[in-house]
Amino acid sequence: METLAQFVNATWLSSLIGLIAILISYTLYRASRRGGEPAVAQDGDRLLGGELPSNVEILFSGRHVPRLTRSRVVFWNRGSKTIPGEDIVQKDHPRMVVGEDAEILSARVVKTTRQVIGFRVGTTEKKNSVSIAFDYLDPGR
Amino acid sequence: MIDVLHTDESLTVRVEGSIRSIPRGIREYPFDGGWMRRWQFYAISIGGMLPPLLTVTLLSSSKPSPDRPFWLSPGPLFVGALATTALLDRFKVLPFPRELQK
Repeated sequence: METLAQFVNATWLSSLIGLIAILISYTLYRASRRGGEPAVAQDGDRLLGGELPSNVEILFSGRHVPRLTRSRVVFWNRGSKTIPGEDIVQKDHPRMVVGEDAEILSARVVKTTRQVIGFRVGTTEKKNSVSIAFDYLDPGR
Repeated sequence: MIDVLHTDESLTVRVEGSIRSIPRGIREYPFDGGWMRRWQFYAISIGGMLPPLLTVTLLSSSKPSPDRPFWLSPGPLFVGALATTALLDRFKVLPFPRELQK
């Protein structure tokens, strides 16, 4: 018990606690200053194609395609402030893009944190991209 | 979460575009959280266990005292350390909202 008391009374411990407190305060201050932070995470699967024999045909809605790949994309606001839909830059609209010689066959929203945010995907002029739009994105959603 | 069917050889798609007042643009994070987040979690867990383990070490080096409270004995402190880790595991940082997990 005496050793514990000596340890607690040490001056370097007070300085260390003070330093840690300053670091925590600064970190919390920085965290509170964060605005909206659009973030994306994704993974994918090859559904069909690749090593198939040449006499095997892949049809998507009756149309021949070279391969079929599925990507799952999660889009959310990692920041601490709401991102309003009006902040989307129309000349550089958020979009998902695949390679120049590839085509997006379908894109659909399968899950949202809340329906009211109006998260949606839409077509663009290019066959290899689809647009992303929302009415607003809540922080952490 | 968006489900995209496409014909690209790559399994992933690029997400591009701009949002006003966010010059950093759209940031990409690993789908499964990646090793950094797992590393952060273990660092926090070990950090949470350090104070009680340090106390145990200090107490075991001191002479046994009859007025030492029960909770300061190694058993309860070890249980406390385990409970801290379990609690941190419950609230560990996920890469994206829980509602969008599979």
